[in-house]
Amino acid sequence: MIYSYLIISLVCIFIILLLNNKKLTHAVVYLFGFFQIYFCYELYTHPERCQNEYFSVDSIGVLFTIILAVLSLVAAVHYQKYETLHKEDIRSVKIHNAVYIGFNAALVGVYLSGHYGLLWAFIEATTLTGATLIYHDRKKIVLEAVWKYVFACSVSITLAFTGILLLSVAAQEIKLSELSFELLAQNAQIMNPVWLKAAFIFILVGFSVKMGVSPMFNVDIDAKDVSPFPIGALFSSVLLNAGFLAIYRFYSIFKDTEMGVWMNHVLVIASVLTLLFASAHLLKAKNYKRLFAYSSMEHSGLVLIAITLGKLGILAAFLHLTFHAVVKSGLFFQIGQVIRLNQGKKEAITGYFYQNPLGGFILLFGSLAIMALPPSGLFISELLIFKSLLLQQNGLIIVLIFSLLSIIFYALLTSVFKLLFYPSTTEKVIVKPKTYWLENLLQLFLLGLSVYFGLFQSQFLIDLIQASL
Amino acid sequence: MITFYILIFAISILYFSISVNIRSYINLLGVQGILLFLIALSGLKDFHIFQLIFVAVETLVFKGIIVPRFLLNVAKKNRVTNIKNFKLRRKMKGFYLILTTVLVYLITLLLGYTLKNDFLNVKYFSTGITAIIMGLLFIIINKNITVHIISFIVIENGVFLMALAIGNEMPMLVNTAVLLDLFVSVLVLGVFFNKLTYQFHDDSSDKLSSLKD
Repeated sequence: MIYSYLIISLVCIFIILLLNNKKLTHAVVYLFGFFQIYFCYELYTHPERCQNEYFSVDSIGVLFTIILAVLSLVAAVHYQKYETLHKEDIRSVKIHNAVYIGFNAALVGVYLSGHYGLLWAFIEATTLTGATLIYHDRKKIVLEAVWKYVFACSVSITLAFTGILLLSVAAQEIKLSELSFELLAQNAQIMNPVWLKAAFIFILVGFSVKMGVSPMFNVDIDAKDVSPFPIGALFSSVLLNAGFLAIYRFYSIFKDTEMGVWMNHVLVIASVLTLLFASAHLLKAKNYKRLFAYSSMEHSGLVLIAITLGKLGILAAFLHLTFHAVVKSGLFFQIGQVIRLNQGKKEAITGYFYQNPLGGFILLFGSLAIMALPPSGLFISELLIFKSLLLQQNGLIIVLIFSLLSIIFYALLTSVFKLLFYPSTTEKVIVKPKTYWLENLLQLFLLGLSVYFGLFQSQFLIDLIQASL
Repeated sequence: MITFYILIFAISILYFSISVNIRSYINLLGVQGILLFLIALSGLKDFHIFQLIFVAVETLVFKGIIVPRFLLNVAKKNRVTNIKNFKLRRKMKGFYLILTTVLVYLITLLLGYTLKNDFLNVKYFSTGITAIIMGLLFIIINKNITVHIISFIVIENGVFLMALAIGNEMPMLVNTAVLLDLFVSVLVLGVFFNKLTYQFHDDSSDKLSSLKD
């Protein structure tokens, strides 16, 4: 089934490249989107059909693929509107749509890989496709961002590969001939921790560029800033999940060995540093896309600390990633609308609530949800993270994280309130700005999902996450 | 013979430390490409013929000829001859970098022999790790984008050498390393680096500072 998925992705890419009609290329993307949803259904009901030598289907992989399928379809709708309003030529739309499918396929590859070498190759593919997606509006500033992104990702992923090579040294010592997660997990207890520790450092640093956590977070922020907003939304959600999974696979295999405690210390340091940088940048960020990109950094940092807190923490981390993905992409889609209605301005925008009341409501609701206020699902996941932290009785870390989260809360709230409710400094808008009902509806749907799962504790979601613990 | 090739490879990293001429940097990359081919050829005996052709194209043709020629053209186009904008004082730079290279190499050698592993070729491993660390250091201390690219290729060469160190048992990893080189190099060099130097008319990273909070 997984090979069929990859072949169909390739076929769709070729069809798009052959077409000379923008609407038809969008139609292929939608068809592919619906096929991805069917693929998720197959993954959920018949996971054994996708199992083979190189791919393994576990619950977390299925969960992330479902999130990808939903968000990818929503982003495709937003992109169609984006390119129509920007009067893109057929060539850019074709390239975007073809690479978009490649990006989706690469992410599915990351989620379902059962082998570290293969996972790494798919992560590399997300860089190649992601860079092309960022370089959509061929401006000088975009070129600067894409250059930084490609260069930093290339260096980081090369470092991650070094980590995988070190892991293979440890594997060869005990006569393992491949790096499948299953084999590694079976032999985790007898592997040499010195090689494993070195491997973990390289893997964490290398994949941090995809997850947007310390130390390699900068280029990820720039990429989200200059890319078309549907791509920024995917980078903040599904790509972040891919980066997390690449780190988590290693962690989950070796967390019960003698290096488990050491890995926890490293992750806590990375997490606190991430929150520290996020809070410092959020205080001075004026550009709204960057503001929400830094907010993603905050959530990534929280997730890193959550996985060190045992089963409850890991459950909270998966819930957090799920809710964050839907809420943050909804926010990015709405921010795209804000920028569009303000003639491309990304900062110093005020009075948006009066300019576009429904959009303002979505932005307000989404912002409160991303700050983990009830009834957002993120409230439940953050509550679980703090509960696990309290159970661990690590007072210093709790105080530190709580202080940093308070700064982040303050920075986000003041910026969003300024955007929504400050009186407009520019001339009054005479012509009512055009908004599109489908975009707003989809954004409300995403925010609604977070509230629904937060309030009603979906058994489907809990079962799926429990199965992966 | 392999020891001789690896020694020359290690010396080429040392030479990177003292060189200030962009042509020397680029020529050294070519030399490293040829050396990697010779090391791969003489070190790995049970190579499949297809894999051998793959590695030959990657090292000899790509790293040894195409990449250096491309970089020389870019340097010529931008009239870059000497690397001026180091973050360290020029006289001290060479000394510190040589010292660091030697120290890193000795430490990795010591580490390799201490963590004795029958499947690991310590000479390959130490030289590879040294190339990776020094490549990273060159990126940090230089502001010149061309040098950043060259340093990135030095890192890739180090990774390739490390992959060879354990490649006998895991040929898939060697193939993956080769693919990394090809795809990323084509993207980084062929597409964006070319556009960047054309758009910014300068190869100092100081020019790339438009993106701010």
